[in-house]
Amino acid sequence: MVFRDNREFIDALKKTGDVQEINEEIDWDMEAGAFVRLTCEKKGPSMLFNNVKDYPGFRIFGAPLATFRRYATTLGLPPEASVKDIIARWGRRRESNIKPILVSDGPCQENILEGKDVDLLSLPAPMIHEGDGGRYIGTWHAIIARDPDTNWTNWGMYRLMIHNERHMGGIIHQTSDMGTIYYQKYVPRNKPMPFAVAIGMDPLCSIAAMTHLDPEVAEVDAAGGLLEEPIELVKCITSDLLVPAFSEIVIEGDLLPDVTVMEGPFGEFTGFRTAPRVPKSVYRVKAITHRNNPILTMTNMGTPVTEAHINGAISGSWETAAFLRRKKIPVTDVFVPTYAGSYLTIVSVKTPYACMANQIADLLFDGTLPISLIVLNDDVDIFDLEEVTDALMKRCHPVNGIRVYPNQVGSPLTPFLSREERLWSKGAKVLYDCTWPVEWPKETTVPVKSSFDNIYPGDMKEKVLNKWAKWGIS
Amino acid sequence: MIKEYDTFVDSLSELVEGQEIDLACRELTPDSRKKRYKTVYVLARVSSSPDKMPGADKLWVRFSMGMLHPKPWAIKIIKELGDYKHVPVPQGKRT
Repeated sequence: MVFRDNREFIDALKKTGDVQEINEEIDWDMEAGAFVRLTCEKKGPSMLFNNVKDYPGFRIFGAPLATFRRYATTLGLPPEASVKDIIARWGRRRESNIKPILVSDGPCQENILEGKDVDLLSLPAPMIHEGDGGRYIGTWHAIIARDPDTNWTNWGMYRLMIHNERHMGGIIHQTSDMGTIYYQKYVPRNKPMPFAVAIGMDPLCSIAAMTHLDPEVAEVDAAGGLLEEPIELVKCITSDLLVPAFSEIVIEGDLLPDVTVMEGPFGEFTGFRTAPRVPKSVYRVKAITHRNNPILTMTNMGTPVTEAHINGAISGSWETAAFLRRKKIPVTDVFVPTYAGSYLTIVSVKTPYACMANQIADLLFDGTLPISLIVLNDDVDIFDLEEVTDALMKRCHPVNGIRVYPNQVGSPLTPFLSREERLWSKGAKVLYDCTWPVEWPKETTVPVKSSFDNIYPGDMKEKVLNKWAKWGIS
Repeated sequence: MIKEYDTFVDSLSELVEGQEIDLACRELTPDSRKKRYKTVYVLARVSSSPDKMPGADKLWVRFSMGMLHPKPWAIKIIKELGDYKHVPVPQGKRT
């Protein structure tokens, strides 16, 4: 099953019962956001608002992928698929990238606004939370930008707040993929960076934009692999950037190198509104194009569970495992637990040599996330968080097993950082090494797991299990 | 008709009374509701005591994490200054 656009995906959700259509008028000013927040917290359906106050002809689609059911659907799995099965499906689809194809036109350009007609406030951008710095039009989208020297094109999901009719702002962290292009290529040259924002793409394109991939992988190629078909791209009106032809809304313009305007605050995926309102870069808009009866996609970042949590658990788990295996680490499995919002990564390994946990930490602590890392022997089921908690408490030496990494790159979104640390993007990380030291002799020092599976001989286990079944004990 | 705006501050001391100041504020009661929360960059006079500026518009004040100061201020906009207020930031601090 392939969803070539957002609308086919919504139709599929109608069949599985995973979307709530609302025809009563809904206010973009906090009401839509409140509904989406509530459904995220209740693990409820996504919300399709067909009647948005002040904006006849527009629709808003909220919480598109805030459950594992909907994520499974995008990958062609039954909604009831397990997290492990979804991760496995992600992995199979990620084994091959498929390059996009260029088409001459697309539904995303059925309507074109240029020049004096450009008006961001003609779009139903929601005021998502009370007290946010502005109306956030970019919460489920891709910002497309190109390296001027290598022509590498990045798709990334960076929040966007409307300042006025022609200007937006948002966080661009210096360690992000788009940040490295902007701060290292355009800002020093004092040149505006062309950008395109694609809103309401098919769900797999949005997931690809949100996912941290290796720099040599183009998100659009990965999206094609996930879709198992090439993504159809169309050239922008005002630049030669390419956007998905079936996007609902496209915003084109330049990211200014030398202007910073106050942006934020905004309730974020960390579950808090944390980052101070500070000056951020400005996007100057030159054109807006959109489909007829366009659907603005929105997420409501906050306490779990949102798209950030679900995507971290699926793509984050697989991508991290694949990365470590490419580095020849004997990884058994990786899990990025849903509720930790990518702040925690759990890795299970075979440990043929000492200090392997440190090596894993050095490899994974190269950006803002994860912040905490738990490394375990692979007799622990890392998808069972009760087992992980038990292992953390029993196997991690409070002095020898916990390693703190101060003075690391941080994120202004991180709640436990001081205001000063947030302003300078300074952070810290921690490793919990729960592996048995390799120098411990197995015969005399490594603890023996006192579990049914481990501490009884095979014939005794078989005998007891047979009687258990015979006696009908549940 | 009295209009309403809001602005964000780290501290109320940023709103200097008794003189013209430039500030970015958001329109809360625009003629078209679609323009609500649009940021305008203005030259204005503000007062923490609305009684001292009869006929002035209302200015709500939010702190930088979004919390609303309970008592509204008053604002008289003298003129608009441009599309946005550029606030310089050191390169190493940019996000």
